Amino acid sequence: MSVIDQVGTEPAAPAPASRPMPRRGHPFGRYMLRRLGSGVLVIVLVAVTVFIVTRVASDPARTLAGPEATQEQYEAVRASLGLDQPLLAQFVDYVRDLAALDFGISYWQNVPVSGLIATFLPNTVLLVVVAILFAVLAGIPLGIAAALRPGSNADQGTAAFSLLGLSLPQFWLGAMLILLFAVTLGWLPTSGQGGIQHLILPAITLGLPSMGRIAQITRTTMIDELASQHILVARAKGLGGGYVVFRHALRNVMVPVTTIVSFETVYALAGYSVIVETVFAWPGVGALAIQAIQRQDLTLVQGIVFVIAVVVVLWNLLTDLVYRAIDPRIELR
Amino acid sequence: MTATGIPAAATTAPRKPATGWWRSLRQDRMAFGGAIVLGVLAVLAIFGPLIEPDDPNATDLFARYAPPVFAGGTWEHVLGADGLGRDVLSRVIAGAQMTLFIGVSVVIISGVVGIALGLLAGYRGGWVDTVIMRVADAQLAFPGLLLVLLVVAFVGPSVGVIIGVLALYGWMIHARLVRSLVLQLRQTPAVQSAELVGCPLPRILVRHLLPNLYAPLLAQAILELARVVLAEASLSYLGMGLQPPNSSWGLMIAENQGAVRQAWWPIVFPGIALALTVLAVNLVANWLRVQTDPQQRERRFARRLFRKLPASGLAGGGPTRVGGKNLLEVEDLDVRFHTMTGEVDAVRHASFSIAPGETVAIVGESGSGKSTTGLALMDLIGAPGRVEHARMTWRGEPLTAERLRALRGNEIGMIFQDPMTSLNPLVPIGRQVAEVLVKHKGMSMKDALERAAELFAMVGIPSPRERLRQLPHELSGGLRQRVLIAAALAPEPALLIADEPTTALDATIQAQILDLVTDLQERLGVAMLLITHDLGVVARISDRVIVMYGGRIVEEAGTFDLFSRPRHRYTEALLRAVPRIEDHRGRLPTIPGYPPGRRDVLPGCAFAPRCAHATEQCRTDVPETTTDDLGRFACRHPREEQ
Repeated sequence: MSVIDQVGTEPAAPAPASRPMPRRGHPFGRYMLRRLGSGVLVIVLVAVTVFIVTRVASDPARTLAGPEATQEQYEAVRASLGLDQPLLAQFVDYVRDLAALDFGISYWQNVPVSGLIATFLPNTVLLVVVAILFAVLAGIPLGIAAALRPGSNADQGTAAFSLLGLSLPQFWLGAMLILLFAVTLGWLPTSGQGGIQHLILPAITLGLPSMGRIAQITRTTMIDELASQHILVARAKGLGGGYVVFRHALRNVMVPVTTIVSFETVYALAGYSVIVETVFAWPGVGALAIQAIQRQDLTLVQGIVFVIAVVVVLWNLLTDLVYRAIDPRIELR
Repeated sequence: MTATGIPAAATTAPRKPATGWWRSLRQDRMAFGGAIVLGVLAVLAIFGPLIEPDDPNATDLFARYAPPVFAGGTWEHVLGADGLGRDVLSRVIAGAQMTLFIGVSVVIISGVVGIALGLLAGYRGGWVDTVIMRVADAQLAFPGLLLVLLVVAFVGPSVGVIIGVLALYGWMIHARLVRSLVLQLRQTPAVQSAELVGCPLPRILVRHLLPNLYAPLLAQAILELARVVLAEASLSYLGMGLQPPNSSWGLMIAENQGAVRQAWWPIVFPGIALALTVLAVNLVANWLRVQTDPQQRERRFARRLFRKLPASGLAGGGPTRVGGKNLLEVEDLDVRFHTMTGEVDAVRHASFSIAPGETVAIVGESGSGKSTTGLALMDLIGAPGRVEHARMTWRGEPLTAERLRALRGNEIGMIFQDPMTSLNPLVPIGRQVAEVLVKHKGMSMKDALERAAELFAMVGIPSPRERLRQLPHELSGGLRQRVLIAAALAPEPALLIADEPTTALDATIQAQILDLVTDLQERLGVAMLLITHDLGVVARISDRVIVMYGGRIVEEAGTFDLFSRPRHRYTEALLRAVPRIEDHRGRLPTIPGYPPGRRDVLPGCAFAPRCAHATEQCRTDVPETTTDDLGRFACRHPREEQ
């Protein structure tokens, strides 16, 4: 969460009074190209990390072959995964396959990895989208309400609620929600996938910490914003309180809030979904990934991590476009 | 002066300073609770084995799922036992030890690595900086737990690997913070001049940087602790973290989750411990962050105080003189700032009036209360300040807070000192003018934008129609001030309050803006209250002058009379301090001494310490105000006619 705080409080791009002449092409086009470049770097770094961890720092063939495997069986597994090749040759193969989006066959499931991901990824996306929607729709209004009367009971209540939300460990929160709403009250199913009622508890569990952080950032930036000179001027113009908050302050608050929402989505997709999907036996890539990792199913693991990295990079690029819509000064950065 | 700045003026009733970390922690009940929880946790972690009532790994098959004592169990297992009959309380305590050990180790390692790399990046710059920050950005862009899980699972879940991976996962947060602080610091005049005289940068960094870094890094490290505690618990829960026989809260929950229908206690208590720990850490970090923001602390302090104090402001007391031909009458305006170090009276017993079409100037040095007076007229004083008392009439009718809200921005317009920050950076400038007309004149946005273009033309903005959709950053300071003037004049106000409207602009633009304002004022017949310290401007455009010092009005007279025959000794000194073209030799004349600071307790005339004519009585009693046909002054030893 410290990552988020820091990014959230970073000031918006400074706006020089006179704009330098663009070198070539549209300045925003060049900005997006630069962002695309750093996105590619992210994917490369993730892929290299996965390679080093799985081929250099560990020996998955040993695990896959099983504890009672003979030397011959172990060698056979190694050969079938290509792990007996020199590292450089392995790396070339690895990069070539990833670039061709050929993820190979899952050792554990014995089906193509791409098929598995195509089946499981939409479930994760659905869960993350619903959870983040919940976090945004609850977190932003809570943050605003708290900021309007800092120090009041409403503020302290919101602060306590959002702090609690981001302090509860998700695997425990999920277990408690199951215990209360599924086991004791019997209102909702404990786990699995089905209708909308299967989505409620996992989405709340996944979204609650994000809601807490979004509410916190909204509150602090809104408090700072309401103390700013241009808000004083807006009030001196006789504009009503609601108008000042929603038409003037909120627009500026949305810049850091967009950062945090984007971050939260990435966190949920590439991290928390693993936990929540495991607790609720939700058939998404997170739960699939943890099982693949436990079984050291090399091909499936690297396929999932690569696909998630690509989704995250695309999402970050989309966020940049949203920024641009909110704060047109961004291209000057 | 900004709305939140605290003006300097005499202080009354000094309050015992509410500063000091311990005192401030005690005042914040939530943070204090958090600190206590962390303290208890530290004790448990250090003395755990001595406190544990039982061996955390001792199994007792007769005590399988023994309930906690308050649910029908025995004192032998206060918080019950798990499926192997192990004591839950002992296991929770043992878990605290492991949790804190891992958390603190990770924070220290990632802190040291992050600070070192951040210093290196900020100090060396160039390709070192580029490489470090690119990697940090890439890691931030893909922050998932997924990679951590992958590493721990493939390399093996030993305590060392867990600590290493979690530290690797957090270094860039510190690195980015340190780097940005180094870069910020290198921009400061102090560091730049130190560099200029050849002081080596590493020494500068150590002497200037580390003290600045202390509070933000501590807050960040504490937040990081929360993150690491949660991450370790999650890893252990997923079976990729600590392994039995180590105790971990995450592991306890995972082990007992299957039997939740039989026994809730083995998973509820470690969860509560975990949540409490993270909550406590967050509370303390939040408090630390507020601690490093003095403005926020002041506002918070004052708002709490206001709820206890009786209501104040325009609502209190009826007007004395109803009727009359004046546009605005102000009587007994008192503004007080309730700061943590004491109460500051920014404006005291200010009374004055403005006739229709008249230009009245309020002059005074910084901190004399002139800007605060202007804001008070608009009821725009924010915490920690507030209007304690005022009686006002508008066009002869009593002016309540409610009525003032209807006049604000409509019949009374205001322009401010700093055009660079006075416009909303993300709202097109046309809209920022048009919204005033929509609000006060009931126009549609489309018509209002049409009118805004005409107003832009009136205030001398070139190609007004094309500029309607521009954002403030596309305009120069002078143009922005023209936009703000257009917004203030749009609803055709009867009174314009101008608070140092030209101070932030360069000299040629100053003259243009001043000409524009006075020209429009004459054409539209608007009265103006001009707040300024520039006596040249006063002499040029105002009809009447009010002189303020130390929060009080010390003299008022017609402009010609005031300049030719000042009576208050402060006014006299002020006029003498104006440089004249004919005295081109010698030093610039100044008033000896300094204006009163906010901590100064001055029971008498605020100018007495700097006044050559002051007597003992001047220092102890506030002088009476003398009124005659020239004006009024509050001085015991006025300047005599020469």
